[in-house]
Amino acid sequence: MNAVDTSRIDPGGLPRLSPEQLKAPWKKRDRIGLVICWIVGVFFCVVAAAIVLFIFVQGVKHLRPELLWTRPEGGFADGSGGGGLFDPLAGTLLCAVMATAIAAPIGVALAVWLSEFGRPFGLARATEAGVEMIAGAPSIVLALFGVVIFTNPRWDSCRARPMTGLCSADRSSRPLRCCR
Amino acid sequence: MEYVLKDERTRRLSQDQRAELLLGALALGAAILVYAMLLFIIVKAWPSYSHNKLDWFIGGGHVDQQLQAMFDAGSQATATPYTFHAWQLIWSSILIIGTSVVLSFFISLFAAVFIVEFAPAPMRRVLTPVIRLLASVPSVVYGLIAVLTIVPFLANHLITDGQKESVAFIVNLNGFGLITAIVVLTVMISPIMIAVFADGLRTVPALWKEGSLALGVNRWRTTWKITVRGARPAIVAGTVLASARALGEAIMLAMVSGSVAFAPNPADGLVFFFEPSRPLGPTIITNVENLSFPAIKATLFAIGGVLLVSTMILSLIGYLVKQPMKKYGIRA
Repeated sequence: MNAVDTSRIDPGGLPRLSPEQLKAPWKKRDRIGLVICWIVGVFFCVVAAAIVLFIFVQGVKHLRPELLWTRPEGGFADGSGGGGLFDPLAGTLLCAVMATAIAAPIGVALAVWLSEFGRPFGLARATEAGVEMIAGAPSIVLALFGVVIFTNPRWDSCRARPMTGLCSADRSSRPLRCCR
Repeated sequence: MEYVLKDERTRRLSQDQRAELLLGALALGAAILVYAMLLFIIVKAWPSYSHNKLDWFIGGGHVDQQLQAMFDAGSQATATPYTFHAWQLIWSSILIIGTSVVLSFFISLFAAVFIVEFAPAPMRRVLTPVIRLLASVPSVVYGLIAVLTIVPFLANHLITDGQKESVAFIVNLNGFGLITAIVVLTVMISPIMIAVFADGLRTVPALWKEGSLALGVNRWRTTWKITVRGARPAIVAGTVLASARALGEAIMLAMVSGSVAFAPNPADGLVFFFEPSRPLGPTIITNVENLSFPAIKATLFAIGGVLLVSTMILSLIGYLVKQPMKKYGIRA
């Protein structure tokens, strides 16, 4: 491609090429592609920074430490009440911790069985397909399923009374409010 | 003595066998539960499907009016209120989810190539955790940010009064609309795609790339012809995963899509992009309060069944596409 600089031939006999000489030619299309790559890469940095900054700037000015342990007054929905985040926080934590506590042992056990035993072949494939299906299922479908199962009037007699400590009076139908 | 040992062995299972039985029973239970769920959803949805037949998927009437009729019918399950023609919702889903998946596919491909091949080291160190952060942001946060920023911007600066008046007799153009939903959904699912794509690009053997570079092909061409092609299973897997996520997205789309059962019409020109609509998922959310009415319950389960079957078809497509590539020893 270019003339090799003879002064830079080393004793080993191989011509040492400069990085410039080593580069294969880039066509205009290739350069445009690289530019798009850069734009997209920078774009995601900007988006992430914007989201974090926006949440902090909008959120932190309202955030006071006592919000974490005071209870909400009135409703979030109508904007009438102000106050704490304790109930949603407790709800989020309880939901997440309890769900993980139930799911983790089952998940580990199923994974162990699938990879180590998996003996009746049909059952193993059926389980795998089922797991795949639930993993891909829209969460809204699972939610719908849960609502119908757990609000069935059949359970009314054995449903526990609201826990007076955690539950405030304004939410009669839902036991706990989650942040999400 | 030996006799006793043998007897012991036949009577009691070894630890391994006990573990297998226990775990196998658990797997059987899980499988039964999963398939019972599937059956439950289909059984609950059946009245809606059997009443409407294939008309369920085509247009006819106004979805919100049909839902209102179901609400008015209350708990008396006569045949009439089951009428439901979901085309407005399906069209909205196709527009919003299809466009976002296509958009974010190209964005993610370039971004993943950038992260794996071309980004300078400091930028790569920033981008990798940033993508992971974006992928784990809850969708409501995206929805909230969009409602607070994109929606007022569109309503105040981009949508003209003339445009608002031109469709005022049908829908309100208030910033909640197609373009908002597409933008937010694209930003939401791209990080998932990028993460999977980048993992796939990283697993392409360095020898393949070096072979190409040694033939004098430049880095861009090598990346495009060797690395990206070698990572095809991962690209398919990432696309399927992100599409499933987009299909199941409900809360965020309910917040930003305008939540009006309306089929945006491309013939409207520029206004088309600002028109509100409501995909399938958010329709479940907005009506879940009335789940005690039999017609609404069947309809919502029917929507859920369509979503579930769509995601199953998606993962089946992903599985099938990956099969022929297995013989080359490529894995996702």
